Amino acid sequence: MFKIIRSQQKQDEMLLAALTKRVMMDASVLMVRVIIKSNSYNRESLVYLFMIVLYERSQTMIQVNAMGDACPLPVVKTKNALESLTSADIIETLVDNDVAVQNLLRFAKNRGLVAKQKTLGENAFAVVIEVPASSFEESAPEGEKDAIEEYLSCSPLVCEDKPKKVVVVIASDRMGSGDDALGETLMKSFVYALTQQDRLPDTILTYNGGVKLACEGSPALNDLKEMKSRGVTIFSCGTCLNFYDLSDKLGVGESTNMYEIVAMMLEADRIVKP
Amino acid sequence: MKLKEDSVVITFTSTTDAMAAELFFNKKALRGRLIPVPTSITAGCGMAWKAPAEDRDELLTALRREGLRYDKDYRMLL
Repeated sequence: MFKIIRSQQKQDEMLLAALTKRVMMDASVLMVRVIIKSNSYNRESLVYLFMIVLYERSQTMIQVNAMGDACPLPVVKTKNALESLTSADIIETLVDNDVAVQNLLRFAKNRGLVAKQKTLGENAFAVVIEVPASSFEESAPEGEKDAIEEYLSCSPLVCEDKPKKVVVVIASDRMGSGDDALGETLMKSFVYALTQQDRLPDTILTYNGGVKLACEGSPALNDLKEMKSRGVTIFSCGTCLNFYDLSDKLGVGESTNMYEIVAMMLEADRIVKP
Repeated sequence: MKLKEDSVVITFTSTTDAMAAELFFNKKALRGRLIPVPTSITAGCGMAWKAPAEDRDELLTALRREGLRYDKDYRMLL
C-alpha cells in the first residue's frame, strides 16, 4: 500500500478525492482497522494509510435500494449493478431482511468478492460489496492488479476442487407418498442413514415441506447438524421458511434463494432425492 | 468421524409396532430414537429403537407393561 504514495502531489490528489466523495461515514471504521493492522505505527504512517484507504474508498459508491423487495429481487438488482460497472467500485445494497443479507453475502462470495454486512436498524441492513479495480483501468495500483490476477488464476482451481459433487434434495418432510406418519418415519430414518455413510454428500438442499427438517424442533435436526460439522453444506429455501413462518427457526445451515438452488442443482454431478 | 456409542437396539416384528413404540417412548420421554435396523442385525428392512445400553431394562419393561410387542434386543456399538 505504501508504494502508491510517490509524491506530494499524489497525496494531495488523494486527499482531495477523499474529501469530495461521500465516504466519510466509513472513515472511523477504517481508521480502527488501520490501527489494528499496523502493530508498530507512527502518526505519519497512520495518516498516510488513512488517506490511502479513504482514496480507495472514494471511488463512486453505487447504492442499490432493495428495501421491501421480495426475494430474489435484492440479488437481481445487485447483480445488475455489478454488471453495469466499468471500473473498481463499491456496491451498497439496502435490504430489510436477514434472508436477503445472507443471499447477498453468498452471491458476493460465489463471485470471489469481499462483502460486509451492516445492521442499520431494526429490519434495515446494508451489504457492502467491494469490487476490485479491473485490469483495463490503467491507473490501478500495482497491488490491486496483482490481486485481480490472483483471483483470475484461482477461480478455475475452485471448480476442479470437487470433481464429483453430490447434492441431496429434501423436498418434503415425508419420504414417498401413501401414509403420512410412515412417510415422516422414513424421512427421519433416511437422514439418520445418511449420517452413517462413509461418504457424505457435499450439499443438502431443503425446500417446501423439507425445510421443516432443518428447523428447531425437527427430529432430524441433530443429524443434519452432525453432517454440517463433518463438512456438509446445508441450505434451506428462504421463500419456504418465510411461507411456513419458520425464518427465525432455522436450526442448521443457511437460507438460500431459487437462483442458488437452481445453480447448485445444475452444478451437481449427482442429485439424490428421497 | 462419528463417535460410536454402547447401545441397545430393540427390533420389532412390524413397522407399525416400531412406530407405536416410538410414539410411546416419546410420550414417556424415554431416551433413544427410531433408526433403520442396522444391516449387521438383518439385511431385511424395518425400524428399530436405538438407545444408550444402560436403558435396556427400563425400555423393555415399559414396552411389556404397555402391552407393546417387540422382537429382539441387541447390544452393539452404534
